[in-house]
Amino acid sequence: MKISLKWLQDFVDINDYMKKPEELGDLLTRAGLEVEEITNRARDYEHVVIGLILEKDKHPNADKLSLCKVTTGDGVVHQIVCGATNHQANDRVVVALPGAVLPGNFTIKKAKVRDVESGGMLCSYKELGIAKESDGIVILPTDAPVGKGFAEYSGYDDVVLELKVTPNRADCLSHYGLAREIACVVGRELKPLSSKLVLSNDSTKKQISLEVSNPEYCPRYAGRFIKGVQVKPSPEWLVKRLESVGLNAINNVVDVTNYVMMELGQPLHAFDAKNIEGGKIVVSNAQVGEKFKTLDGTEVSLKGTELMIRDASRPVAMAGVVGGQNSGVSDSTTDIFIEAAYFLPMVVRKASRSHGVETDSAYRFSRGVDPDGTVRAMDRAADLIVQIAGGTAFGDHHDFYPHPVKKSLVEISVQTVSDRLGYPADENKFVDYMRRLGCQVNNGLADNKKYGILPPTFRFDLEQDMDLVEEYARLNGYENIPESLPVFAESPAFQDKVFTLNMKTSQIMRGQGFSQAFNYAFIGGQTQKKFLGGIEGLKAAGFLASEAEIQVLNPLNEETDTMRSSLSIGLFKNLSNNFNQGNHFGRLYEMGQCFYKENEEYKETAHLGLAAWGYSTHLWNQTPTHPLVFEVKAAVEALLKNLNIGAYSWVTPADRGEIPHFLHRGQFAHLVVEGKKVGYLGSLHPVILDDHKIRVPGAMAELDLDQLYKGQPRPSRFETLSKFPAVERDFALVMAKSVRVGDVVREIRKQGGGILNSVDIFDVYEGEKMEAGKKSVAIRLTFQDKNATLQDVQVVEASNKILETLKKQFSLTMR
Amino acid sequence: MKSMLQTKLDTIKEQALAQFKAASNVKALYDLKVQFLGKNGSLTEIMKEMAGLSKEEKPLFGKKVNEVKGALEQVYVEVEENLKKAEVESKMASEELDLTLPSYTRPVGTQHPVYKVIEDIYGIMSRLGYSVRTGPLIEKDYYNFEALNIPADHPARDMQDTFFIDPTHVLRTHTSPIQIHSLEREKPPLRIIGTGPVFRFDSDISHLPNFHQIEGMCVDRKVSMADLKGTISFFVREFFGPGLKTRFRPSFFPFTEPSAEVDCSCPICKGKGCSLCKHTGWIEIGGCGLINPKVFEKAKISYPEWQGFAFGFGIERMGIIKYGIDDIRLFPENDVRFIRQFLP
Repeated sequence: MKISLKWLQDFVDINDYMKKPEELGDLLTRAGLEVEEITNRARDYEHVVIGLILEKDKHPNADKLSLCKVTTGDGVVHQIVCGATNHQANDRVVVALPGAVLPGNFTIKKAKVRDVESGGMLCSYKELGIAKESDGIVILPTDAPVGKGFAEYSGYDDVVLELKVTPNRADCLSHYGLAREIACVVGRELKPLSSKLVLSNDSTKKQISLEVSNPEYCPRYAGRFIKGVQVKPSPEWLVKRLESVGLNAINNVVDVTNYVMMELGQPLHAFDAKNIEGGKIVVSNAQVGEKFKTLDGTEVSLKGTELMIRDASRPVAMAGVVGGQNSGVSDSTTDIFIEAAYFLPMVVRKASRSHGVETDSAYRFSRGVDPDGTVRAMDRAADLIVQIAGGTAFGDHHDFYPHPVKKSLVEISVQTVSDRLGYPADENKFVDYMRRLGCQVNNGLADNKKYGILPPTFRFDLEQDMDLVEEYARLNGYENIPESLPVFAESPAFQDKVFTLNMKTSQIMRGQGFSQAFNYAFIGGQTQKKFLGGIEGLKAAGFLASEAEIQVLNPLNEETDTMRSSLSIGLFKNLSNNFNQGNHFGRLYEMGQCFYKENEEYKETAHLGLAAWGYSTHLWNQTPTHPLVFEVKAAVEALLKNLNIGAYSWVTPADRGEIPHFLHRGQFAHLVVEGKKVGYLGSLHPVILDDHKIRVPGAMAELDLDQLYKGQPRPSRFETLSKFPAVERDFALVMAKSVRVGDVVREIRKQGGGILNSVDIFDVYEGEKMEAGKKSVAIRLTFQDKNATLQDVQVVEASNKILETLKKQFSLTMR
Repeated sequence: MKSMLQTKLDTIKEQALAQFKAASNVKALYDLKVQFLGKNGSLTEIMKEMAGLSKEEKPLFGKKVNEVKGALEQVYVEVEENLKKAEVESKMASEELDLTLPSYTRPVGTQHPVYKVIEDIYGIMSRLGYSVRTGPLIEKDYYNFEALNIPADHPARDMQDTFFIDPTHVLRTHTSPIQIHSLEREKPPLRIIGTGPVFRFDSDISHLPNFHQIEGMCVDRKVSMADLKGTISFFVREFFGPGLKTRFRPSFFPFTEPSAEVDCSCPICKGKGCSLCKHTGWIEIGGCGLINPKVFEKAKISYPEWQGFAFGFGIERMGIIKYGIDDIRLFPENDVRFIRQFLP
């Protein structure tokens, strides 16, 4: 909110801060009213003065420039080159002299323009930052005093604060309110509002009748009739004040209602009394489906929860939000009815939010307008309207206020203040602060140690003892709160298991050369569908997913409209962007939540995703040839090993429809851990690589972390080290290409018995020396006994048993 | 007078010594050893010729032969050692490597700065006895708002533009619901930190619609603003480095009272004024306050028997300040050139 310091001066003496507004800004910020920006017009226009053009000649070296001799009243004649064409000798103009810094940080210096000395600039309104566009330089009236500072002359000598007012401080959403706050913080006097309002003996009530049928939503409603106004543009002082706080002038009546809102914080509405049909105002709820056209012509369909101001036949305003087109003040208006009310904050907010109509009025009502200030604001407006627009203000005004709003007494002891703040609070200060805040202080409570504090009606936020503790802390300065560390009086607490395991997983992934990524939890629903090709691929890999995805009701755009089912979409996007940024090698992992619905409930499940593309820089004389997907597989297996998961296998699905669309049909496997599918691994589909112009191999994996974390942490178990020699046996097995080596190895382990220590594959050959459709796999078996030296016969027996089974099961032969 | 045999022995010794010393490699030397000292070598041969000597001469000559044998073996060992040394040297000379050539780069993974900040904060706060809690990202309106003293149709809701899943479920707008879950499930005293992704309907050059927060809560018998200030100052010094100052400013959060915004003196310019702190010397890092009794009331925790404070920081913002990151939009892009800058 914009606050004009000159305007504030009407209510509190802050003359001492006009030259140093930063200090006032700091003071307010430290009192909880954050000043975000200070616009200091007076400073902008330093060295900008009114000048008189004595002579105007052509620039000797440029046809389009003129050379002017200008006096600024100090006896010096300034020679100034000017590019405008709308000025003559004897014109009074605005001169920026050397040293001036115009808006936009434009510094004026003595300079040579086409070899001619120029000592300043003749300014346009655009250059002065007053207008967005201007046609030539400013030509002032002939009575403009030469030599006078432009700021003072034009009235653009104000300082404007941009204030961030928190929702609890609605009382500061006006100049009067902020002046009251400054008076309280600094300890100064708040000046009263003066009024010259003279009322006629005529009765408002006879002109317009009032009926409030929902007093719960409208606790107070006041109105006054003014006859015979002349609607015309507002006087300059009013226009300037509205401009200074960012409002455009409309006409004198509307401008006064806006002015009073900015001054006192009470939104007002002026009706054209002749358009109030039946001479009757009714305050009641809207009817469902009823249509209402707002001031700017937008038609809204009412929901029934809005509070409406109606006349005898139709709605004329949405209470506290916006007036109706049918009853606003126009140039032909002569009689007006001024409304000042206190509407329930939540009612106004709901109406404003549900129709997307955000007005200064709704903003203030929904935060809370002082219910005690209603009539004062109405009469302030009546006073100004009569002064500016003429007319007669009628007496006998409406003031429907059956149950005056009463604040509750807050009981508090000074000891509570001390305890909560952590330092001894001073009793005299406490009482002084409470009084400065406008509270009534009673100390006659039964419990002598407690004060009864009655906060003023404009402070909606003072309801309980803690609110007063904050006021004490604030007025005494947060900087005076000491620092201490609380003594630890609790027993050790449990730690979130998943957080700890995630730190471990993260560390393992980094050890495998993968870097961590983070993607948004929402993605484009269409993108996800296209990328995965439906959720079958996820379900087949053991993930929890639902056909119906969880949608965001109000997404930013279609790329954020669905809660993700998988991490792979985001990671692939990262992979693609990275490659196209010139990062031809990378390894990423992400741990994050994925979402699904179950029995109409929203569920979350933690996934781990991996993405790899390109090869790391190898030695200068080597080119890597291994399939990249094995690097990803190695990282996954490292995780399994570190989680102490031994019983796992990789399984190729028989049904290729179970492979998510983005992965390679022939380079894909499911991970099975302890009999349950927990994820997938695969190379990227060649078409997707091509579509995204990715020219290096890519591979990805995704795992269900919730599954992997079952039974974690699994502690390590010590096994005795064998002191006896190991025996190695190598075999070359010839089998059909379609046979999965993993299946063969699993069978070997099964048959190998207790003395089979390890199974290693050291060569796979599929070249031309092989029979078509066959491959040769070289296997090294290592046998070792923990308790004795192995006998040859034991090794032979074990090997034979393995080979016999393999021959039967996989129809393989020995080479 | 020298016997013939003696002359022969002397000759063998002379020849052997000369040839041993001249041997060019270990293999040649070994061949010479066989030639002179081997089973069928010269010395063995000369021993056979001893048959013609007298009973008295035999042992004397035998002793001489053994002396020569011993001397030759000694020389052999010496020469062999020298030759071996020379051979290894020449092998190494031939194996010379240019170690200025680039090495094999073992790819090292790094942590995303968001999670690095989270783990760093966890590390600091755990020393003060705080342990971690997490919570769902899709929250009931009650936990995200109502329980935190933000009723429906309250202007405080405007402070947090919200993504809705349905009229009663939102993407959590802050990590504070974690506090409520903890208050409901556990018994005070409590010291917890809650962390994770949060969502706001806001996307521009300085806001992400999905960012991260960390939240701390302490509930105990007696907790004051001074305790809160001390805790946060400790945290700021540990996280950003010693010598940093913290400043509390009054503010408003519906779930705390009194509330404060926390500024720290700018770690980049040390408070002198720079573009990061917009030349104020101070940087806003988060909000905090004493837990509003209304929050305790909703969670059925008895106040003032139990009191507490809470604080919250934006993780990306902490990262921006600590590392001098100039654009928040880099966080979700996951450019590896960005992520690999954050060393353990």
